[in-house]
Amino acid sequence: MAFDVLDEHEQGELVRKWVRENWLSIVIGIGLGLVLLFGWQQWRTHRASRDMDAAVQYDTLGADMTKKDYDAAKAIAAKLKSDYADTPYAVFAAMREAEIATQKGDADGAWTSLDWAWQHASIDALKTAVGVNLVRVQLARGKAQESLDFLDKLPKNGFDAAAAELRGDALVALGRKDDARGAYADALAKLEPGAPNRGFIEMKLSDLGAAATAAAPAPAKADAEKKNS
Amino acid sequence: MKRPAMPRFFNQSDFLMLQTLHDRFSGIAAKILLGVVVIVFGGFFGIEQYMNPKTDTFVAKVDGKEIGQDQFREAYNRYRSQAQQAYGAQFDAAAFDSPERKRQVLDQLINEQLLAHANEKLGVMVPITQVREAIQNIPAFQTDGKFDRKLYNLRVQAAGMTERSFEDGVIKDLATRQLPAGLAQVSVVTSAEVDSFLKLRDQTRDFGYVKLEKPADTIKVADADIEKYYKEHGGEFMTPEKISLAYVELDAAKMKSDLTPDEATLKQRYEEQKAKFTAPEQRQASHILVKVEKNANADAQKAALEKAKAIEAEIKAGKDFAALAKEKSDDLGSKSQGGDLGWLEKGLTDPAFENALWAMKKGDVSAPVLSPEGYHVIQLRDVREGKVKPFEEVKAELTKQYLETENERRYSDLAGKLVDALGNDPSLANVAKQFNLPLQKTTLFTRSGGEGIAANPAVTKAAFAPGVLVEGNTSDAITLAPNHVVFVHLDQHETPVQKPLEQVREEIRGRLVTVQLAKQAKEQADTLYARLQKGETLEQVAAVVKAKVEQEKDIGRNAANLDGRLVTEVFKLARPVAADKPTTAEVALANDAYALVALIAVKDADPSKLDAKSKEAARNQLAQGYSNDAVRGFLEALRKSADVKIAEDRLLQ
Repeated sequence: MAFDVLDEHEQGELVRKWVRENWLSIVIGIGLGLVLLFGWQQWRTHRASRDMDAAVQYDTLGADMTKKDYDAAKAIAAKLKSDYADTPYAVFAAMREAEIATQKGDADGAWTSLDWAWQHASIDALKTAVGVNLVRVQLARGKAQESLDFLDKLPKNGFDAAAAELRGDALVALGRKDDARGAYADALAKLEPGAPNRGFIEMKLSDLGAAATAAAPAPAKADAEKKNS
Repeated sequence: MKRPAMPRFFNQSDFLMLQTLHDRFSGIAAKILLGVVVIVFGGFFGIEQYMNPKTDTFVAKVDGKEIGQDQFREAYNRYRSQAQQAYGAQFDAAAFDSPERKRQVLDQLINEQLLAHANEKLGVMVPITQVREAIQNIPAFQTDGKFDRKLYNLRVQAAGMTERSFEDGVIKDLATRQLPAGLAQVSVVTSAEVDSFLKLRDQTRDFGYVKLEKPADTIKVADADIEKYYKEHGGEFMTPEKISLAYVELDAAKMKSDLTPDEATLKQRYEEQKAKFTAPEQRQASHILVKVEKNANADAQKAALEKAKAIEAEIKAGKDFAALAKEKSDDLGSKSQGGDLGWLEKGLTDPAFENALWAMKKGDVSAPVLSPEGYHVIQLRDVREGKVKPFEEVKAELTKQYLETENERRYSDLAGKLVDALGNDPSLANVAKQFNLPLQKTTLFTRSGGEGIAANPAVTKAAFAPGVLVEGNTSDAITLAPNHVVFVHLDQHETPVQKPLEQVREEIRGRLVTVQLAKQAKEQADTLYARLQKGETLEQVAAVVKAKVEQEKDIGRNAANLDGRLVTEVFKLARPVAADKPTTAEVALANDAYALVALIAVKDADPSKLDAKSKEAARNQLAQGYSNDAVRGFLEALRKSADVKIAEDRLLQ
């Protein structure tokens, strides 16, 4: 029987009957709902205060880096990684650790830190940001093939230009000049016009002996020729 | 007992839904779930919202969160007024508002939304120290370069905000910068990269080249070719579009002459403004104050009165007022001047004091007068009678004033009537006749302006706008200066026509010669380059055109004394396979000149020879590029993994 064929009194009766039969479970349900809401809010408050702790510590780490007090910075990074591993600040701290290591020429140490950051980055965008740095360090460690493999694993969204440039670097290291040329050209195509690192990629590309722009006025292929004089 | 009707918490469809749910899931667990559903619907989303879906008004939607039209408009207006401030008078509103610009602002808002969302997901917080620092660094809150708490408080209140709401704004602003700034700070730059950068950046090259100048102009252009070009490129030789205007000018400054106010009007104005022409009566007074504290009891008050009376008696007995004031007055301001208060007008002093002073005659000394300060003994030293300037003296001023206001009134009256009349009868000529105004005309002018009123950009702009030019309407009032407007109407319109051949013959000849020369130069260069490729040396090729081979050694990328194009192209060439097998190239230079190049050697720089400072600089340069990459890449990644909808139609409204 459809509900709306009943008159108002009958409808009311139906509702009252339904409530009489089910009042206990409704009350329990509402109670449970309230408990859940309250618990959720408590958890959020707790979470926020932990995140804030991590943020404040990371702020100090940043100040230490600016002062070049690397020991202090490393100590905070270690604490963030051990006690606040699920916050983005631990990931950032690991990247700063890697920064210190690369400055000291310690590519292996940098790799260890970045690998930790890679494992702990919780969203793709952050993961790729870490991954790009990871490849840079891998290349410095002479692991060109590993770098290529790793680049294939990077989430495909964003960082296209940087990934293409690194692919070019890896290919150069592997002696695959033609592929590298393509990768650099790809990087230049994906990079925005005024990017500060455009010049370096152009240098790398032309060093491979290709025309950097399609608009080159001279014949595109310059040939090695016979003795000149 | 009659039970009250069931209160209507739900409407029928809601109730039915609950009922259906109940039917489907019986058992305790389902009923408990039902309770949770009630709480969630009621508490979280609000039944209202669930029951009345809104019509869409968003400009963009980012992961379900809307960016509304109001929010967009506000952001756009802010951006616009910033640009307006930056460009000042050069700001062109019409050119500024483009769809691209709107898209740019929207992208910014979307980025902010994406970052806010990422912040929430990741748990990004703004440390209070950053908030404090940000506020303290705002110049508007600083005195002498230092944060001033009071000033902060005042300024924030003056802007209609509380400190709390202002700080919330700062936090929100800082929050969207946390992730980008954090990423930009990280600079993982390996030494290997720095070295390879330096090797390339400071690389030098050795090469020889022959410069092939543009051939001399020996080209004869046939008249037939010129005529052909003229026919084919007719559109490039058009006279500019010209128009002239008929206009009616209304200028308050030129309406004066025929006005002469009659005496009665001026008299009336004189009466109305008498206060302005009146010099009030002034009285020069001195006083001696016996101070009475505000909360003084009756005894103290009485003592003060006694003291004042004694002073009055002393003066009446012949003692010098000024000397006594110096000795006994409690008024620190006038005491040392012998109690002198200078010339006073009505309304400047305490009413009791004033009443007493204005009741006195010159030379009188008053009995003690009580004011909130205490008892005064007053001496009236001199009186200047109030004076009213006679009508004749201010008549000229009144006439001038009358002409000004009357002119302005007549001007705006007439301007208003003109606008109304033009609304009824769009013919400017008719309206001009009706108001007995001269219909004037400009000479012909182009879009870049002309003479007279056509020199005014506002007039040119209105004249070439579709309303006047195409539809033939009379323009709105165009303001030339304050109280000075024109209404314009199209008079003559000269559409562009092709200029006669004779007028452009030489110009065409010049163009054809240039093209021919460029072709010759290119052919010459190509021919010589082909010989170079076939194995001839640079010297042999140079000899053909009697040119000289230049040998350059150790040329860097930024070599200053060589043609920049040449150097750029040389640095794009492949390394020569062997010292005796140079890489050759043909390079186009400016003005149809060419260079044939033989690259002999490429020498990478040796980074180990550079000092630490240069290396640090190079590292920073690379780091800057990577920072830029990281921030852009991060935003791009957020955007690509989010669900972003843009309502183009609402954006462009």
